Amino acid sequence: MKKIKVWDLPTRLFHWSFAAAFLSAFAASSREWFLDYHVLSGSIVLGLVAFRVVWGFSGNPNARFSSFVRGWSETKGFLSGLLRLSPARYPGHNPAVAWVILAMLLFASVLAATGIIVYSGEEMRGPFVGFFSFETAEKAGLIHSIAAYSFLAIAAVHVAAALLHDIIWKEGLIISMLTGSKAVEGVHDAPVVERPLLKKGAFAVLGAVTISAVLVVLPGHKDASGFTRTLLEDQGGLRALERNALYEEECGSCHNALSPTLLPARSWEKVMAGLGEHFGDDASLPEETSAEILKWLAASSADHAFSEPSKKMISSIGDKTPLRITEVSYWKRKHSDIGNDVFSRKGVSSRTNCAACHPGAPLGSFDDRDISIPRG
Amino acid sequence: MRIVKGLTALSALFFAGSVFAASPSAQMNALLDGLKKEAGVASFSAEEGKKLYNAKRVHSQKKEERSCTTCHTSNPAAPGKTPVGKVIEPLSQAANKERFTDPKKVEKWFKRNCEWVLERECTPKEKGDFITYMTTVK
Ligand code: HEC
Ligand code: HEC
Ligand code: HEC
Repeated sequence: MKKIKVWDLPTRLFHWSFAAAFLSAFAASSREWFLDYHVLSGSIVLGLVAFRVVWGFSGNPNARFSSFVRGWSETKGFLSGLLRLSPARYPGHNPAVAWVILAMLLFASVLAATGIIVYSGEEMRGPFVGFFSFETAEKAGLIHSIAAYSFLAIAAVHVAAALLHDIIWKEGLIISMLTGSKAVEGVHDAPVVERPLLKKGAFAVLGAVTISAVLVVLPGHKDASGFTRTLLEDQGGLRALERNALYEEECGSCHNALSPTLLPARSWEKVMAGLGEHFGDDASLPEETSAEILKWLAASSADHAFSEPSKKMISSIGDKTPLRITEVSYWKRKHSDIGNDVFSRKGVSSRTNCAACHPGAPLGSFDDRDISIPRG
Repeated sequence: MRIVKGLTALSALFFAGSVFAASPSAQMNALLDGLKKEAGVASFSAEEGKKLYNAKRVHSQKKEERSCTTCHTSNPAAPGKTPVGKVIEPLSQAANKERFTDPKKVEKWFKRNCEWVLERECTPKEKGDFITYMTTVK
């Protein structure tokens, strides 16, 4: 058996960067405050997909879709060989992995597209804010998760198959993806890695990097500011929470003033009607003062707010009238990982002290990237 | 002529009156005078105010020890914190000149905090002593 060059450098680079970018995006999806990394990795995945598609038409022979994507009969033949534990050997991609590759590229594209929709419609971030409604984003979010787990399942099959090939048939597949060379049985018209193609490869890589970078660098990442903000305002979407001095004075002395955007107006009416017996305290106010505060609370309440947490609070509350934000199941779910010991730290003191961990709370922002839990 | 003089005098009085009404210390003096009358004393004692500030008491229902210092700390010139974790600016006037300038605010917090610590309103004498302590302590 002779070792020949089967994978060109761009293909190999693609392979491992794609795996790394997907894994890091997947790992970063576990926590809200990793969203920045999740979006960065996802943008890289999209750039890589774009590269692979271009390379699939213009790359070295073994990298081209036309060289490895086969019809059903050949694929079936290969699969039945595999089941009999004597699969046919291919120098490049076999017909089964060909479909795996196409499926991965497809699911990665779906992930990127739905990710962009969620990021703009739900998180109000990124260059496409204003193009997608919250409702669209919620549906896209569902597809995003399904696609992510499907991708993971396909990737698992792919890894298992590669291990089988290496352990049972000693093909040296995995190492070949690093070195580029593989021992191939019989005589094959050895697929050449042409030098000029490397240049083309460099262009494709550059293109891919640009796509990722543009997605990341485009305005609108840090906050819904600049042109995304005007875009939203044009559509009547964004209601920046105006701070209210009277509210902060009267309702921000025993605890940091709570964001009005997380409870419906009927809850605020109930809170304001019961100030004399307010969670064990007397928070009563003169009639005119409480009427004025209630007017502002109702106008800024979750019923009118546009942000992701407001919408989620509303759907989690249903037709109940909670007095506390912290008793709503969406809130509880979001904070279920946080132990009582954390809430009773000196720098926090209580669940009600939202601003301790959410510095943006006074402005109605509970953004994932603005979370910092006091250590002491 | 007399009418003009009269009007001038009247408007001067009016002006002085509005300045008088707007002056925080004058408003606080009026509050203190009122408290003195209600308490039936000629003057208040900063010493007594200090005692009230540091007095500890077990709440009949919560069974926990409560005191003004629970939130305001044992040093009236230091920032304090509520049980919910909100920072409170220092209470003594020496450390925070906004304190004890607005009678409405003072009365509101006496009502809430005396209830919280003592389970009753504070007496006029207690309030007067407390204000005297907080406005004189260095
Ligand atoms: C005298 C002190 C005091 C004042 C003034 C006060 N609160 Fe509270 N508030 C509390 C306490 C104590 C809690 C319970 C905190 C806890 O459970 O840790 C609370 C809790 C709340 C909660 C529930 C928070 C949660 O856990 O989800 C809301 C809502 C609330 N307050 C609204 C208001 C509003 C509106 C005002 C102004 C009209 C106000 N508060 C003024 C003492 C006060
Ligand atoms: C001890 C720190 C801490 C306190 C106090 C706290 N939070 Fe959070 N909150 C977090 C963390 C951490 C997360 C992210 C949880 C996750 O996604 O895994 C979070 C998530 C959230 C989210 C979801 C954000 C999103 O976009 O997904 C909202 C809304 C929220 N908190 C509101 C509140 C409110 C309102 C309060 C006060 C009543 C509060 N939090 C108190 C730590 C805290
Ligand atoms: C549960 C916490 C807590 C306790 C205990 C407490 N206070 Fe306060 N107190 C506050 C808060 C909060 C404020 C308002 C702070 C602000 O507006 O900056 C305040 C303000 C005041 C003010 C208003 C001062 C001014 O002019 O701004 C007075 C007077 C006062 N407290 C008296 C007392 C007295 C007397 C006691 C003991 C009987 C006491 N407090 C105990 C929380 C407390």
